[in-house]
Amino acid sequence: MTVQVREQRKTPLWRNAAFLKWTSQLFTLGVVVVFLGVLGKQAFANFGASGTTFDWGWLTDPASILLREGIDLNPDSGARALVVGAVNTLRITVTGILAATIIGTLVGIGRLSSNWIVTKMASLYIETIRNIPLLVQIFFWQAIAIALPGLVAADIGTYWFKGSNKGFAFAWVSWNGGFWPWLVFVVAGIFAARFLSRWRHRLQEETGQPAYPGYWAMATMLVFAVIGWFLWPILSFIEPVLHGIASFVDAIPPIVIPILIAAFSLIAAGAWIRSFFESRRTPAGFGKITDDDWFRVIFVAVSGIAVAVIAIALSGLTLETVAGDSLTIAELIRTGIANFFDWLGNGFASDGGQPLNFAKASVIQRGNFAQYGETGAVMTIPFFAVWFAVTLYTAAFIAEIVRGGILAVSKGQTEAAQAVGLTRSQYLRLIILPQAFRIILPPIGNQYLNLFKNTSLGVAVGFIEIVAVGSILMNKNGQTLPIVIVWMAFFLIGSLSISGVVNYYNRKMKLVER
Amino acid sequence: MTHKVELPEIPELAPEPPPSGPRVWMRENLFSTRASGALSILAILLALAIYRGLLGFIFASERRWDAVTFNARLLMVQAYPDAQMARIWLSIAIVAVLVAATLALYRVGGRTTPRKVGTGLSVFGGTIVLGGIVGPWGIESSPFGVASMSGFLGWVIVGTILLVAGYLLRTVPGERARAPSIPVLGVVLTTISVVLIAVWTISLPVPARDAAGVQIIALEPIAMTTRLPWTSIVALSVIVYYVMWVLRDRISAGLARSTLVGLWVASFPVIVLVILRDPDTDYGRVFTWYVPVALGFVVLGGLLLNFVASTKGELGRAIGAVLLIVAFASFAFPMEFLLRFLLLSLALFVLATPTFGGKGAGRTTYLWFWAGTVALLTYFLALITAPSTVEVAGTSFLGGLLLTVVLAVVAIVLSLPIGIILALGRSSTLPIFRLMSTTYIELIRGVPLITWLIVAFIMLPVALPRGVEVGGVARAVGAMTFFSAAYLAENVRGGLQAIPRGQYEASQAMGLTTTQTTVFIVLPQALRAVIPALVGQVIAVFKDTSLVTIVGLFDFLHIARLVIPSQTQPFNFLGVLREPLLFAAVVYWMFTFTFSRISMRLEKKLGVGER
Repeated sequence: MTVQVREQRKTPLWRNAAFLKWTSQLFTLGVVVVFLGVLGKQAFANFGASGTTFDWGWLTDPASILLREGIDLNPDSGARALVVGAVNTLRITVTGILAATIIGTLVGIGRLSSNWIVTKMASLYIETIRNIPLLVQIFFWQAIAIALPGLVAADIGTYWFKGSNKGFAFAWVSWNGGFWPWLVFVVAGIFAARFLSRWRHRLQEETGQPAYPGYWAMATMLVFAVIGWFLWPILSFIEPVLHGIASFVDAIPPIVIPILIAAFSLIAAGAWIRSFFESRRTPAGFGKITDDDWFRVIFVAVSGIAVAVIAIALSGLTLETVAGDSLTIAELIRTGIANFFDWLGNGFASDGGQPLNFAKASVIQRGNFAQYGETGAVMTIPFFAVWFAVTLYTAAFIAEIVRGGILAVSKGQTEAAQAVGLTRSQYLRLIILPQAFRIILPPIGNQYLNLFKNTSLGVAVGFIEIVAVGSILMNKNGQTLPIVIVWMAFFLIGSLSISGVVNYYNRKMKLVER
Repeated sequence: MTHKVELPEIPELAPEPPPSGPRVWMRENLFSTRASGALSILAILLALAIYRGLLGFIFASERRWDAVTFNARLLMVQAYPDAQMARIWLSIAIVAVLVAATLALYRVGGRTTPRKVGTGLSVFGGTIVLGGIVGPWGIESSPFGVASMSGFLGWVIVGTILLVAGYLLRTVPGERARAPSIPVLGVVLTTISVVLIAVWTISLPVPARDAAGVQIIALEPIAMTTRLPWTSIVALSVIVYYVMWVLRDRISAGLARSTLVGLWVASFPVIVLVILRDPDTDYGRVFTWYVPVALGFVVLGGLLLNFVASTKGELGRAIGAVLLIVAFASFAFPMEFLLRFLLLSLALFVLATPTFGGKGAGRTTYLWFWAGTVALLTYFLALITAPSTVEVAGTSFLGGLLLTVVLAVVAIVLSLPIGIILALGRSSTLPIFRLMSTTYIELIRGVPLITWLIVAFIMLPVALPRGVEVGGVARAVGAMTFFSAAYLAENVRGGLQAIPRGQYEASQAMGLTTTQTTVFIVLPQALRAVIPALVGQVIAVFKDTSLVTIVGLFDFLHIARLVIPSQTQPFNFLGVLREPLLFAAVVYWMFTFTFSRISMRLEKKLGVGER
């Protein structure tokens, strides 16, 4: 018997799938790189022709600008000014996220209420706010606020709340010397409360009797806070410890820091590659490793080595500090860490007094004008306009997400909860919202990101956030590219942190599937 | 033992209707529990307070609404010259006619019930009556010359008439009130007609010139100059609608639809580049350079495409690859932009021939498509390079609401293809494409739009070679396009992920190539699934256009916030800020609210959320 075997021809190169795939990809990558390279080269040439050079000196040069609000109104360097802007951005982001979440959840639940007028008002709020551009809203609130009457001599006195065209002042707590040690007590209280409430939960599940874990947790925290209020001076030993750490960090030779970074990057890349090969291992030996897999391995290896090389190469670069001495980047990082511990230690250096102080806002005479005093808190007009608009705007979107999430929980859950005799507030709190939360979380995380990015619109009303500070610096020194890089780094790091937190909770809340 | 049980004769009765009426309704919807009742009272009080405050704000005597009415044209088209206004009207008419034709051809718009229309009327009337009652009508008269008492009476009378009309519409037809009998478009048309009548009759203070040519304030219908064009456009649209309605059954539906789609696609560039911009075309150059080059490309390129389509093997791809490299290389040498673009598109067409070239009729279509592409590219390049003859004070002939709309439409239209390519790249199996797309999308989305606008306005001019200048509007369009593309890509990716695996496997079994699977099988389904999300993106882009005011373009918001409050001549509106801003908010709201309703309708029609 003869078997005809068709002759297997070798695939020619131009029909080889792997070859075509990689050529087309590399070709596209090349075109993009060349395009960006041409743009970059042109930019450098044009910069050079106009006399500005690309440098980072402005970070440490005296900024000589005055900022209208923030932790430092007269920053001594460009970097410091950017930090002021960043802190202002984060202020609005954090408070805005809290307020928008609360308002949004309430409105979202209100839209599903059985009460007709509450439903209608919630829909009206959402449909109005969501459909008007945020920038128009910011301008509108600013216009409303600056039309308020000014402060006059007759207004001098103290207030719980006072609005004028200089901003809004209200009674507020401020912290004093004992605040940080007291905070240690409070944090310890939170951990203790967590522990106790878990224990009570377990008890409740074992015995079936109500064990009130929530009340226990609250009472524990309260007890710790009250004890801490009186006992905080016993924590005075923390201050020398922190200063000790600071001086220890200062004594580390600077070369250690880039070596640590490089080592970490190499070890992480190595670990990833190792685990990748491990995952391809089968009892019969290694599985087939495709060209895609090789690409991944090479990519990780190259990035790991690149980070290590950059860390070591850049650490030798010297920068001039505000004080005038030259430091390498490694030394700068070291000083930064040491300064952080010093700052923390200074926080613990008590000057007596209560941890918290509550004070009403005041209007005082300064020179010829009536102005807000130092007590209480003052919200400037730009801050108010941005904060209020961004919060209301985000809350409208969050409300829709909350509504969708609640509706997505199957109706059977409500019926079952009613059948076992739970009241409306009980089944909302214990059955519906925990399940809705799982659906709601990812889109709400997106809204938090949007809120964070939307604070940058403050530049339009003169709110001193990072984009506004950057623009001021740009106009001053013409260093556009470095400032854009700083913006990008700030927003990317901020976005990544927010999505990191959201993803952490997302993973925690995820349905455990078998 | 059995005994008989006499069953009573029970007459068959209709089920008892559930209790109804306002009292029952209120008990069920407002005062079901004690807490709910308290909440209702609080909410009602709050709503009334807000309504009263709003009316008090709008009708306060110190409000300068004349800042808005006097500057209506500035807000709409900025400084578009008086003599050329006909161009604007022509553009609006084209869009209106196309909308009417589309509505007729696709039979858009269902029917609604008299009950719903009646409810709408009643609610509207009730709101007006309520305004008459709760409004803070003081003694002073408003700038519109409406005395307080007559204002109150007028409100109550008009509101009551509407309220009663709505009630009658709800109750008089009886059971028929629940049957869908009123066409939705009829309701829309009636509303538009009422607005038109108001425009013709209601007088408001507007600027005018007296016999000596001095600026004065006259009490005239606000839309004195625009009511005639508006009315004609509405009438024209109605006529077109009915003509198309009749024609629809007599002509080939496929042809009519493809013609309409073609007209829609062509309308926008024609409106912006030809009608509004009015380029001063140099015909000598057109006939000596553009036309010959285009003809050459059509003929020689067509021959090449035909040759490539009829060869077997890899020769076509090889030619395409060489052409592509030549086209890219052409950007490194001084050369006419027309040649570069035509070379690039020829290379892409050659590369796509094995996939789409086909045989027989398919190939003829493909060649026609090539000729059309060359013609369009040449035409628009010739238009763009010719200077505009519209003389305006600023740098751009676009401004006000016109600029806002143009920005939004161009950004959306241009970002759609980029977004689709990015989405395909991100869900591709090819790692470098995936990496590049992901980097682009995350980098763009991670940083706010205002940063990109600042980059486009400050960095781009520096990065471009000498001699290449990009105007402010083009820079804003560029930044918004690339920004919106990243968001669109994520939407489209959602649609791509929703395609079941079986679709890929089935098309592979049919012997389709990867490209054919993507273009003919996957993308149509994916795009259909994400239409509501895409409309959402349209809304987002429209709202985002307001950001260009920060970089100094004269868009709608810029005029409302910066131009009007700094006017001193001929009328003093210095510092008048809240009125134009509120007006701008209302206009933006009307656009976006309409879009969001369209999106909801589409969502229902496509049944996206229900699968």
